[in-house]
Amino acid sequence: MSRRTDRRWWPSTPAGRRTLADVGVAALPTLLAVALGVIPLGVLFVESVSPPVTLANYAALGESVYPTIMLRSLSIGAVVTVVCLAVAYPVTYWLAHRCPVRYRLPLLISFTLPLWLNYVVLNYTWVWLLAEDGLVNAFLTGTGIVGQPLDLLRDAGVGVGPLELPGLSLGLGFVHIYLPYVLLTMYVSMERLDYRQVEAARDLGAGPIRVFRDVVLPGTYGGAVAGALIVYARIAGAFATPQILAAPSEQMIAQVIATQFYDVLDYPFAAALSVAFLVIVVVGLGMGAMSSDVRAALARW
Amino acid sequence: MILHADGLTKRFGETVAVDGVSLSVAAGEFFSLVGPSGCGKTTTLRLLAGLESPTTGRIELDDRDVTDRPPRLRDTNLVFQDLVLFPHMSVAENVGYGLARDGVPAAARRERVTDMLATVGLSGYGDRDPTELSGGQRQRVALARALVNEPSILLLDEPLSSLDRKLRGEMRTELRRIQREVGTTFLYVTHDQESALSMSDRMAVMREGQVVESGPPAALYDHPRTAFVADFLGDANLVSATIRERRNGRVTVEAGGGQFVAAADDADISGESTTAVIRPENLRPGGDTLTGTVRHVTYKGADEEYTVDLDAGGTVRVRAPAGQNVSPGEAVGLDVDEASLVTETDSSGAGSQG
Amino acid sequence: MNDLPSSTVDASDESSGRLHRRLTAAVDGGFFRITVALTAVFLYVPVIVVAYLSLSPRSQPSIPLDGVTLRWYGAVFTDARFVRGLATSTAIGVVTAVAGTGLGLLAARTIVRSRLPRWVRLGVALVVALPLFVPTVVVALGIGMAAGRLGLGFGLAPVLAGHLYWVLPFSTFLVTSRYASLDDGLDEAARDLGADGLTVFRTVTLPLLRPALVASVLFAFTLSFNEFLITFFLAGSGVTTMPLEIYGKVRIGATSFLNAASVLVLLISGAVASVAASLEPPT
Ligand SMILES: Nc1ncnc2c1ncn2[C@@H]1O[C@H](COP(=O)(O)OP(=O)(O)O)[C@@H](O)[C@H]1O
Ligand SMILES: [Mg+2]
Repeated sequence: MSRRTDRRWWPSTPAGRRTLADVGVAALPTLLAVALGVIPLGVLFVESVSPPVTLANYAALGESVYPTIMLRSLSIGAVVTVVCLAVAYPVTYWLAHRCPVRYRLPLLISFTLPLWLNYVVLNYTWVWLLAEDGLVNAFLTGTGIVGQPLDLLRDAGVGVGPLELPGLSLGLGFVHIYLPYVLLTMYVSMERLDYRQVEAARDLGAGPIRVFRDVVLPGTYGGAVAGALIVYARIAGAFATPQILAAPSEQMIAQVIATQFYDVLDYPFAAALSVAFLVIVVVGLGMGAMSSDVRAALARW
Repeated sequence: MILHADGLTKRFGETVAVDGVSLSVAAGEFFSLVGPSGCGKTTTLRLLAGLESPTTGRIELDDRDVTDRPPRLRDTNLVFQDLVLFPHMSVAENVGYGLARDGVPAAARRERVTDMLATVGLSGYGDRDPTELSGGQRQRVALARALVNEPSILLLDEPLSSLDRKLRGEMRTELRRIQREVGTTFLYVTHDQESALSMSDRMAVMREGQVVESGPPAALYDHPRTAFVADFLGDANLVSATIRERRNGRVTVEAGGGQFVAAADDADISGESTTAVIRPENLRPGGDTLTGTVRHVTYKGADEEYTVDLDAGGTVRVRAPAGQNVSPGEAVGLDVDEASLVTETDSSGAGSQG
Repeated sequence: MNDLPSSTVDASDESSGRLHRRLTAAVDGGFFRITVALTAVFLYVPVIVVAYLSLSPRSQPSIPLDGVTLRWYGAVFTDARFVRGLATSTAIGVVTAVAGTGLGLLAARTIVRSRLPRWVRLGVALVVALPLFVPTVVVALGIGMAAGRLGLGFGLAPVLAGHLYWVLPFSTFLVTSRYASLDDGLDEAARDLGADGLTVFRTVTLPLLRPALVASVLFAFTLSFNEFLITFFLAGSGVTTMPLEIYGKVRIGATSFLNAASVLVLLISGAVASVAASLEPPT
């Protein structure tokens, strides 16, 4: 294709013109994504090693409450993700393979509708269920099951070994807003599972647990990990949900970052916190995304 | 010549899809390009349509060089192998699409679309969705869409391959009728030698990106110059032969244990040994030129086909009207009604003579 | 045991076979249905409770209600801050939905159809997908800090840019999946019939992409309308959106006013969602 006859800056061959047009098309979205995605990450990194060049901000991460907060965020992310998967498995299995066809679409829509709703509002709704004068306590005291209202809202988490389980209200709030994502991802994967495999396994004498282990799990593993990848970082890095539903003494990482940014005005430290968090999460996600099953499931999503 | 392609070559990385193809098609002609699948027919058509640009070579349309022109600036239209009708447009909108691009005003467009739908036998189908039509009808829509703005040459890429056998036969006749009616030049691509033989004014046979032979169907079928074309255009027995005598266009050869006369241009034959091409229907049981034993008999409707092991070695197939009462194991004598000689070896990659 | 034909198993061990079958049936019939029902209850009861409590005549509702009124909805519509938040959120949502879908279309075309080298297209897909994999706090802090450090400041324009960036991966991948499913041949057929690049796009590509574009506009609107964290880091003091207003009030305390405001927000995005659901099946 060396038919260029002149030295104008714009290409004169059809292929060259097409390339120029393609570059024009790509430019706008790419510029936006770079300006608001790549450059800010660069700014964060530069900020995190300043002033001039120092690792002091990172060293400070190991001190005081920060390791606890980081670990808490990560373990809450893990626990909530597992709960979502545990619920999503039977629900999507039934929906994809056992549900009468005429109910399937309406049910799927109602399970994914919360994706479209405001999570601040959805979190707030739990306040009215769990507060001292909320629905649950009104029911429990009204029927005489308990004498005193239980302390359900913003209750403290439970430590299990190095892990920390979220308190009840925080856990419910998280599952409420992230379960629909996992349901949708799992459903896509579950729908592709050939139900005849389940029947074949049954026919050969497998019980429910064996069917799950031998057929359902291998067939939908990719969807499960994809769902986990989609929600895990959002849970671990959540800000509004713990602000509304967690015990004030048990902060998560995003709350600390926001405090450093807004109130303490310690930009370098806020940046170091978020870079460290990003690295930890991305390494975890990257390991998950290595598997080709998972990549396929993510691509479908 | 309305279309003239010269030395077209197209490479896709390592693959040479089209390798030095030259073609000339005369105005009003029905020209076929045949060859086994993967031999570069589609790529050739796409080069002619301007959907790909050739690595090397030249394309002339109406005596103008169009090699570097985009499709919209060349007077060709393509009927795609899988039709690709626009799913979001009605039949009439599909057919009128090219007219709209040519700037034909809406009223004139409607009229021409109506006429064209009548020509292809789809009057009254204009408001339908393409998805509501049968395979044969969709085929006609694709044809109408490509014909309506009267291209200099219509390129058809295996347009009948998606139809079932019976419909294919019908559409073949239809295609010829429509071509005569509108008078447009057709360049028709197919891997089905039977369609090509029955429809074309002239045809070219392709193999591995190259044109092996071209000419009128009867000439190619009766006197193939290569074993490949002989075999591709129909069942053929290829028997190695020794030349005994040459006399003005007829050559006597010895092959398969007998002597017979084969049609061949004297001048083309060099050397003493060659390959004789004998169509199964040109071997007649009840003769004595070749002798052998029937291995098995296959019933083929009106005909029967025998596989015969020749006494002199080798096997031939024979096609004869059914009811000859020949059974396996029987000895049989055969006469050769017609034979031709291979005059070119295939590997040399014969060009075309347009 | 598993190698034997099932009839042999039944014959030799009939009672346990029947028990097994009954167990399986019970599991099928009971366990799954109950889980599905509980999940639906879990997802919707909190919302229903708040909707119910929003009708309380008192500013602090008690359970059960001692009357029913719509006065808190009236109060929301006369509250200057809320009305302003609602108007701002809607305006930002509309602009983001339309512009974001346009950008998504450009990005999708680049990823699916462009002749640029493969690594360029993959790179575009990757930077566009970034906010899906980077935790939102980090994205938000990054943008906020960049806005501060690079002197762009805070307010409406940065919020709008942030929202566009946030919806870009969703609109891009909604359009991409539809774009990828379009037959390449359609473009070529149109070009063959005399269309130039722009005409192909206008007469063939765009109409065929319409369902995905509409879905993208609707989804991008709700994403933007509900977006909280990026706005939180970029709004500064001048801009207030509906989610910011609600968040601010939630921190102070739960009230009937807030319940009504919440229900309104849910109704708006629920309405957009049901339009989307009525247009085409999800996914
Ligand atoms: N776009 C392409 N990229 C790479 N190889 C191609 C492309 N198009 C065709 N080919 C190759 O070129 C050869 C000829 O293909 P084609 O023209 O489609 O043959 P036909 O139509 O005769 O079946 C094949 O080997 C095919 O794999
Ligand atoms: Mg082909």
